[in-house]
Amino acid sequence: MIVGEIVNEDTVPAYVNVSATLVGQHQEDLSQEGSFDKISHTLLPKQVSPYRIDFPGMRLSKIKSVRMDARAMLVPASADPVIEVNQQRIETDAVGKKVLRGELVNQSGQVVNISHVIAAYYDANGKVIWVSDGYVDQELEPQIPVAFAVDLPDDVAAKVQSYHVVVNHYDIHPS
Amino acid sequence: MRGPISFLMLLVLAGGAWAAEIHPPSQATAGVSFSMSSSGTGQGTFYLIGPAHVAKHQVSLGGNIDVDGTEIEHAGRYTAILCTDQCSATTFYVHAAEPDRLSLLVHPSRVPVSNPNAISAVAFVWDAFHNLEFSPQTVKFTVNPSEHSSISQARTSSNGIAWIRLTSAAKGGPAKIEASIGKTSETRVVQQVASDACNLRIKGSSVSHKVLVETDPVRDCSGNFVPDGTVVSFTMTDSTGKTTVDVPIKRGVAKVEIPATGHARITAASGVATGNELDLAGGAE
Repeated sequence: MIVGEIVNEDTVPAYVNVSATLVGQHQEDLSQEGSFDKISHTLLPKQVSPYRIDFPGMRLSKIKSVRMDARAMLVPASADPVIEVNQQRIETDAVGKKVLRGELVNQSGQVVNISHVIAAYYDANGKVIWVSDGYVDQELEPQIPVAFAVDLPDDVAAKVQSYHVVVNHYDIHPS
Repeated sequence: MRGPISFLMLLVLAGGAWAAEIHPPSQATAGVSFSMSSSGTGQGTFYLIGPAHVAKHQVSLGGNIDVDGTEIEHAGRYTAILCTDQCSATTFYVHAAEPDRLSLLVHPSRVPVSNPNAISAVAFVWDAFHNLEFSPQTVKFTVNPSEHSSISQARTSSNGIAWIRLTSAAKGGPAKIEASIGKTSETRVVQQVASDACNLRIKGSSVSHKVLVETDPVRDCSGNFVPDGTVVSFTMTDSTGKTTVDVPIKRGVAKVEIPATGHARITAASGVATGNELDLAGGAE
């Protein structure tokens, strides 16, 4: 698993995709994967998105290096909707698991059909140590708070010093 | 016996007919007609084989063989062959003609202001037949900013290529970058855009159970307005936890209303730039 953050340093919106190739001890390519939906693909200028790339079944001892590939394409993007993430806190749920909870508030006048929360967690050095995500099973109507919760592994939770939540959105009728 | 007989036959053949010879110039210029002298008598067949063209002519031996300019438009190595009952061949080189065209590559198309050596301009020098001009040529690069006088610098091409690195201006806007050689020139436009936000300042006020926070007009360190759509991330911490919201700049400022309970501390950031901290009293706890 590879985690990190990507920022659009340009002055125009971009559609970004991050992929990685694992390189073995003999310089051979072991596996290539992309961030799929664990990233906010459309980034406005200076917007930051966490990403996570999973490599199922891969053992760390086999990997010598990693080749990262971040690609960007200019796209038209709307500045709306603006989604506020309120009351963020890490809690222990009813079964004893750590979760990041909060509320989403759609500050625009349009309904957001599908919202997707992506959270990056940082250690004491400010390094991203985990990225988790979750879809909210309810549309966001203007100014109506909707609760969300995303899981956080217990071993990671102990090291988390801060976190950053971004909200990705998908609309049936994009503006 | 076979060896001496073969040797004798070769001698007879060699002595019976001398191949006519041709004498091309040591070098020719693309697209320019020239003549080459030939030896021998009678008629012969002349072949000209070039990088992208082959020609065949019937010629009279002993005089000049004319090669039309249209037959040597491509620079490179040519082989001239003159055949009677035997053939003789020789090679010569055709060089590019005078510079006539430029190809100009400028990268990137958008560049932040005041960025040293951020713009790369590469010019390829061609003749009228699209042959790369390998001999050194002086290419003049000129930058025409929208509101300042132009600046020029000359570079000598090497293997047909001249290049320069340029620093973007402090003021945003389009800059025309021109490469010229003789009467020919090529122009590209680079959009110089605002750099990262600088001295990001936020101000706010409490309204009922909300705080209204907005930035001052967001500019870069050179005073250029950061373009609308650029995201400013507001973070507020109050007694209920942390609130974050990414707000795009509209009409030069970013503003947001955030519900707050009790004392609220608010910060803002845009890219790598961070703003001042704001302490506000929100609504009742």
